[in-house]
Amino acid sequence: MNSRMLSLLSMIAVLGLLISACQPQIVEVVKEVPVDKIVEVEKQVVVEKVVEVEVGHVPDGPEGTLVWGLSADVGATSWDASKPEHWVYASMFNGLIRYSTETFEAEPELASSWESSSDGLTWTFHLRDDVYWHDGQKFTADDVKFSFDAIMNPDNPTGYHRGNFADVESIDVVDDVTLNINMLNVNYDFLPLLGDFMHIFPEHILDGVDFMNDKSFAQNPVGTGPFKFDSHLVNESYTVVANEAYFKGAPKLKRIVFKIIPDASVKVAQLRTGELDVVTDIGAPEAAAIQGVDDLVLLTPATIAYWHMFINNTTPYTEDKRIRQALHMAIDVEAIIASVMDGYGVRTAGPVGPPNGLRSNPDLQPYPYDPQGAIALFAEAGWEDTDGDGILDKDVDGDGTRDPWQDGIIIIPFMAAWADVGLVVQQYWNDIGLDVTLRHYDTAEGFGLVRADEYITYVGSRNPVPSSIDLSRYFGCDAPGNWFHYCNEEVDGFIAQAKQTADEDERRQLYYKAQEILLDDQPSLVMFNVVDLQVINKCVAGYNHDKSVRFNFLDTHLFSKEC
Amino acid sequence: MNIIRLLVARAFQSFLLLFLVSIITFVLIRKAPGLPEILSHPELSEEDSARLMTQLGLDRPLHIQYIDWAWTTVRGDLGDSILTKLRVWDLIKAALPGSFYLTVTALSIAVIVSIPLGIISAVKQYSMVDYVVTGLSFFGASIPGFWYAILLILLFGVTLGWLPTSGIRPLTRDATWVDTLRHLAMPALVLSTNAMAQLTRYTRSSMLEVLQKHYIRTAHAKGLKEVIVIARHALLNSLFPVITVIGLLIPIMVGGAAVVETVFAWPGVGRLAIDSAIRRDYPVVMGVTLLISIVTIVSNQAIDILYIFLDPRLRDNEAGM
Repeated sequence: MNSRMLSLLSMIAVLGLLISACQPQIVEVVKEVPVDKIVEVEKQVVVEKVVEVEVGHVPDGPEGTLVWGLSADVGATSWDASKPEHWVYASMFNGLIRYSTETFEAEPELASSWESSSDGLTWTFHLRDDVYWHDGQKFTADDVKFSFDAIMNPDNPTGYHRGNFADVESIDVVDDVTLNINMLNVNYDFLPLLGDFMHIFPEHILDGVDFMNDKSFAQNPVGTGPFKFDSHLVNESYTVVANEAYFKGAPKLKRIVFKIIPDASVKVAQLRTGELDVVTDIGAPEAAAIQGVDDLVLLTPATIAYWHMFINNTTPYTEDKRIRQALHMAIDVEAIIASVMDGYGVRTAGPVGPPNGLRSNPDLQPYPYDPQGAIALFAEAGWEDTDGDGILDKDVDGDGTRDPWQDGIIIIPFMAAWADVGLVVQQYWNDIGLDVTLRHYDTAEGFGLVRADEYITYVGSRNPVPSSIDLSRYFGCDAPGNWFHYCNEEVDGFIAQAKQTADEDERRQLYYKAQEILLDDQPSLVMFNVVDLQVINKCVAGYNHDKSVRFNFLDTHLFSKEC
Repeated sequence: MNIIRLLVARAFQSFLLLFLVSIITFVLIRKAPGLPEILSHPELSEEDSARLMTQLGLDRPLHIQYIDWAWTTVRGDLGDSILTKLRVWDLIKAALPGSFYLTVTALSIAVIVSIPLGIISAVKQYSMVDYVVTGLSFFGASIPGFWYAILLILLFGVTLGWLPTSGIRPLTRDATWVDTLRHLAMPALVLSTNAMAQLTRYTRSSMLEVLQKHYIRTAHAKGLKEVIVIARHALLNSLFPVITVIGLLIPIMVGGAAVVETVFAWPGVGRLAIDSAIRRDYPVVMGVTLLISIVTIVSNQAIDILYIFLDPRLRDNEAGM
């Protein structure tokens, strides 16, 4: 072999190495797993921890700076409120009401009281008289009407919130402190929706502004909240300072700096050096890294957010509800919680799980882990392994030949552990005789495929509005959020009836019935409620975590830094 | 006259190239599956989605959208970010100083360290010094920047507490120049490591090649001292390929510092590029790509033109191409 051949061969070898090093975007992982059971992992986790923070000195006036870590920069408006970055707005703005962090009952905020008319078609709100905008102007009912009209206006980019007003016909200003909301349909569960990030914006600044293109308000927001906008260094930090004229009393902190740090390990490093005081979107590996660090406290509140296997209800592989039940029974959710989530999860029977308190139907039991039962259910639905290849099959397209039960679970890295959960679920499903692969996409692409119905299952999560209405917005036959195309008129019926029921206890019972049906129908496989992981420095007092996950900054005016 | 023709021809070439790059980028990012974040929210209904698409101008035919973009860009308006509504130019402007500091510092460190090391390595080929330098070069070239960065943060930031762990400035108080240097230290070190490794090797092999040349042998034969031989005859000739590499490194560092920028939460162009591409913020992607392309093309052309001035042999051939 002469040197020319040698160099040619080595070039080819190097090229081969290079090509193999460049992985394509889509990774198909097909795993062969033995049918024997995996070792059961038992993990004790303290889910609700009451933290006693030693109160050092309590300041008289606003004092000190709190540094809060965020993963990405803050968006243009709070109407896009899907990620933690946008919750910064909750420190600067208020809604008409807010949720109690324990029971999700509506509590007064900008509205001090409210009542509904006897026919349920008009809600009257009595507003506070002592609220001022950050620029000194007085807050009035005109501001509320303006904000709500803007959300309802289809020309504005408020699609996410417009659904909250589906039952509203119009808003009337009676006088400076009184407002009427006129309903199209009776909806006694309407109230909590007003606490879902429905911030009130100043009419005197925003009247006539084109919300699609306006930048000036995003660069200088004016609200009524405990903190005022100070500065925004793009991709670096967002700073707010105390609003001493806040109607609930001046905050105890002088300033909050929201630092933007995309990398999780760097966030941990900064918590340890004291450069960060609070981080609320930490993952299980990072939580492990800060265990035993003296100055830091790990809070683990259970939230109403949940993870589920999202299922396209209209495919021949999944349209039979027995199949969906079987798919659920084939997964050992407790093991997933213990291993993938490091114990940070609460097994739940449906979309309204235990952290929802009274709103959750206490009689419902989640599906047990029962692979044999799952196989039996599949058989009932006509899926059996007739050709001995280890995969269940059935003739779904009517062409005379049996087709294997196949699924490519879509993995979207919207949350880090979705990929891990997908991997484990794939193993469980392959164990009972299904042919499951994994398809990885980035967030934008993955969601695009789901919207186009080009999927069978994917690992997903949901952060519901703390109102039972949420069920209809997600599982209702014509609901815009019903991406899995589930439809059960009974569920719609119960919810419709509940909306018309003034009595709270009766309403609750109707929702319990709806939850019962959902448990049986399994439009999506709800696995567990998320346990939120939050790290705060011991010096931070007055911190009030919140089960809905959406409103971590709810009581920002109570926070103080006491050492 | 020659110079003018040269510059005009190069400018024309550059515009053509920019145009091509912008078309390819535009098509690629629009054809990539997925939509801007606000459109892919799970709660959005079909009609709201359609309405948003129209409001953003995303439902028009692709070539119309491109022409619209190109026309407004040529008139100096890069448009607005879909996600933050800020002007694309403002976003880029905010990111430029960060990238500038980082790139200049990293490049300076790389050049100052590598060239002498490379020369020594070549002159004392196969000596202990050479082996050490070569070993370090391989190490520096193969080390994954991400991992290395986090290790440095843990060592200097957390354990020793000497350096700040991220960012370009202390955000809770005003920055002094000492602060800036301290913040710059680790990111610049990480970014320069790979460049240092490459440059050292390039310098070494280039110098080795030059040392084989006849005129070096002649210089030795003339009885000149080693130092003079290197400094007067070998150095400039050996630096030509090195200058090319440096020229190529500039755009790589500006756009490719994304990993360093992400880990160190450094507000630079690389991070802006990655974030906007992943979140499908089309106007920002186009703006940043345009910027990086301009930097790349300009630095390449500048290096070329510099060569023509430095190397007499090229001057006579040069007729603009």
